[in-house]
Amino acid sequence: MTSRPPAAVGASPFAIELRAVCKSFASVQANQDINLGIKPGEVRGIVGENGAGKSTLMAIASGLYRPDAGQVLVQGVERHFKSPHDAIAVGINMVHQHPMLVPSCTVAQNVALGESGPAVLDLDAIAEEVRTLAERYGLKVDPSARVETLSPTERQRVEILTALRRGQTLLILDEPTSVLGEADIGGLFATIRRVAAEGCAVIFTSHKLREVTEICSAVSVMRHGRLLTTVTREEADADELARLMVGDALVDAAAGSPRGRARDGGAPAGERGAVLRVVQRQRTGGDGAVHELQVGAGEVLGIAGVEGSGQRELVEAITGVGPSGTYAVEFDGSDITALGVTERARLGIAYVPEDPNVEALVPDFPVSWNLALREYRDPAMRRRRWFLDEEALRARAAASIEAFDVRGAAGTTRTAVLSGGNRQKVVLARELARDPRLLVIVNPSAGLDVGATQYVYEVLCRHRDRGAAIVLVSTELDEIETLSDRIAVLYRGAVVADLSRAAADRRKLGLLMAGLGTASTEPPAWSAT
Amino acid sequence: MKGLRQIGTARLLTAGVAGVVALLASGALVALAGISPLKAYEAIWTGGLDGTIAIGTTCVMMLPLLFVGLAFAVPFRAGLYNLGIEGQLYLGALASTVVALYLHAPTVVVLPVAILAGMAAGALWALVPAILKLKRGVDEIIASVFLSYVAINFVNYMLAGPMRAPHIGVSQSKVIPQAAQFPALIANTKITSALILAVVVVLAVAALMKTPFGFELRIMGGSGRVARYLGIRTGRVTLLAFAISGAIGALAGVSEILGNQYFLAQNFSPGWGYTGIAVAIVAGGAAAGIAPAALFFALLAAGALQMQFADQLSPSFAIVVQAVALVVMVLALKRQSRRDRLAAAGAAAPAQPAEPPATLSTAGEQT
Repeated sequence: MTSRPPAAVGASPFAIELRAVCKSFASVQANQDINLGIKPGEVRGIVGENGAGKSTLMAIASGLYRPDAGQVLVQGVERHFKSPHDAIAVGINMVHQHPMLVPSCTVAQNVALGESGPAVLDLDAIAEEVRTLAERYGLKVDPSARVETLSPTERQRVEILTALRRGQTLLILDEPTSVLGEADIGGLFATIRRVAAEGCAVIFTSHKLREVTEICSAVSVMRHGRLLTTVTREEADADELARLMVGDALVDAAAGSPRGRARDGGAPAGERGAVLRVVQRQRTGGDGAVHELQVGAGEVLGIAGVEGSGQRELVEAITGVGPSGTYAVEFDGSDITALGVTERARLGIAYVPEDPNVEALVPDFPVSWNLALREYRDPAMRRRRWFLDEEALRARAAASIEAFDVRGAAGTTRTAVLSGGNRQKVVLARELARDPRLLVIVNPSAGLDVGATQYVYEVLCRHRDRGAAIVLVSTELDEIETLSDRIAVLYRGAVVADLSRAAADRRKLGLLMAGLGTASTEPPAWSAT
Repeated sequence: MKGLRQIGTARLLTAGVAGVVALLASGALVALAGISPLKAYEAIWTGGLDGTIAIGTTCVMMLPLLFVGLAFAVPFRAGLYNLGIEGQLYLGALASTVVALYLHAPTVVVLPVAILAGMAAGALWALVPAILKLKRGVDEIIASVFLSYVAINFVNYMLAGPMRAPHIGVSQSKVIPQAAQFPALIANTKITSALILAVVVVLAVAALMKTPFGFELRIMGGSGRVARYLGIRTGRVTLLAFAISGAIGALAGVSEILGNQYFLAQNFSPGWGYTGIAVAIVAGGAAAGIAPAALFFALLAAGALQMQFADQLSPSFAIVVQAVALVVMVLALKRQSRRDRLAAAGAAAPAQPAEPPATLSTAGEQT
């Protein structure tokens, strides 16, 4: 049974309205005096940097958090949500950035999850309903398929279907495009338009401002926990939004302009001798495969490739975190293939992994401990020879926090309470503390907003100019093109190209990443559009 | 935002509150049965605190729980569970009994050797589940529990056969000579030098947690992936943690046999290897909290002994208080970690693209 919101209640023009909403966590004021009204049928974008308070705002609207002060009105009626359940009951549903589904269950079972109904669920009826809804909103998915067999796009469709089936007062989409390929984004937008046309209010967040201006009828900008302004689609352009989000800071990173090198007359790359050499021992790549990569001091080697093309294997072979596999690794002219992580780190290899929050930080540790993860065995960090010196750790943490501008943190702060951008800064601060000779960094801007991305790029460039060799692995071509001096392409575990920045145009890279090497002279059918 | 030290203090405070709440709640239960709870509290006083004899009883009750609690806490820091301490303390008791009975030497020689032999036996036995985990991926919880039964029955066999004291109707060893016993600190009481050993071990465990090794335990417990990223040799840390755990756990048996019973009997432990885990959990896994928690449990046990002599009161009172304390503490800890998690969720979750940007359409755009 598809629950629908009751037909127009009261006189309120808004599907949802927040009045003077405040929320704080410990010393962090996450939301401050937020006033926001969204009409039925409106698609509202909410943008802001990491830590600007978007997530908190959505959590309040969807019943996950209770505001410290202020009111939440749904169709003109004040509501006090005790849990997301209460919000769902009045037709407010959230589609999370990372789907919250049970992988071993079918689509229909997942859709029915959390539903109070008869003791025995009529899964056939639910499957039928799912099919109808799917057709209506253009969300193609097989109700009897197991979720674990679905692609990220399809999983998101399941989440949206679940939400739509529960009710359609307000649909909250948290960074929905971050899991989608570009082809699927169009499909999602069509669905959003359809849903809105039927009178459902939609909240849409994204770090990609062009998407926001495309789909939303109005965009609200948040900064430092406040709702700064709301602009209509006509007034909004991506540059203007970016400027609003970060304040008056310059935003050339957002504009995607190539990153100027602060070159001293500029001997680029390689000429000062290779810091890192990676040799593929088993020649598996077929014709035209590259069997050797080099990075010199002051050089950025970008490694492009679609996700799962062997990035992790390559990176872990270089850093020693994983088995060296088919790679032999040379650092400063000596073979380090047999060395462990710790020895390599001591030689000056730093590593910022793809998901630093999971892989490089212990969430329950205070920031000062996480900053010491590489050095806790150093005599300088000891007290009375045997024991870790908490004082020294804290003093060092204070310095790093200041140097890297980790906002709202002290050395004793639990790392988990920091925002994504600040956690990235903590990892960078630790990895760059000893001015490494080589930095391996993977998808450095994933999940970061304009300001934080900008900051990370600046840090990378500073260390490049200092003479560090940098291996930048990224699935974002923008990022690769912005920062790299050379660009290598990974495809199915092999390096298929190693090009200079000038020789690497986007089309060529795209073809290489798709496994269509330079040999293919004819543009394939799909690119004929 | 709280620092770790504050979190630690908060946990200790919670533990204290749990103890008081448990005492009061159990008192209320006794009152429901129409008996004055004051009688129960009085039994705890006279049985556990009133005079050196009573304090000696409390000591005897406390030592095994203290050692087991500390033993459990070490691998627990790394997210590993040694649930086989019961077996380790049996083997520890056996090894030290063998030394005590057959090594004829003055106390300064035989007692340390007996203690070390016990610790070695416990450590070796604790290594078995750790090795099984590392080599074969066997769950250490299940392996350590099952291996306990092997150890206990081996000890029982030794006492029924090879080591059985002659001319006695029950299966137990000969009496341990005085030279191998823990000397009393106060004459004619059970306040022995085993207490000094306990203090040393408490300090040693607390210190261990502050060393780089202790830090590695914490890293492993905090996130296995980070441990891998840092290149921590988790296998070595696991082995070491279990060996230390087994060695400390064995002391529970050693101190009981050489400091209280003076002979090794079949089934001599009333399940300290498990009750001690409860002690560690009540203390929130912190070394500094385990001593007071063990003392609390010991006082209750000493009180329970006393209650046997009092009208209407049942020694079960002690068990009820222990159980209530455990439940209160577990609830409080759950609440706390939930609060921590909520605070964590308050910060913006990081995005991680689960799918690569569409290469095909990117390339297509350029055409």
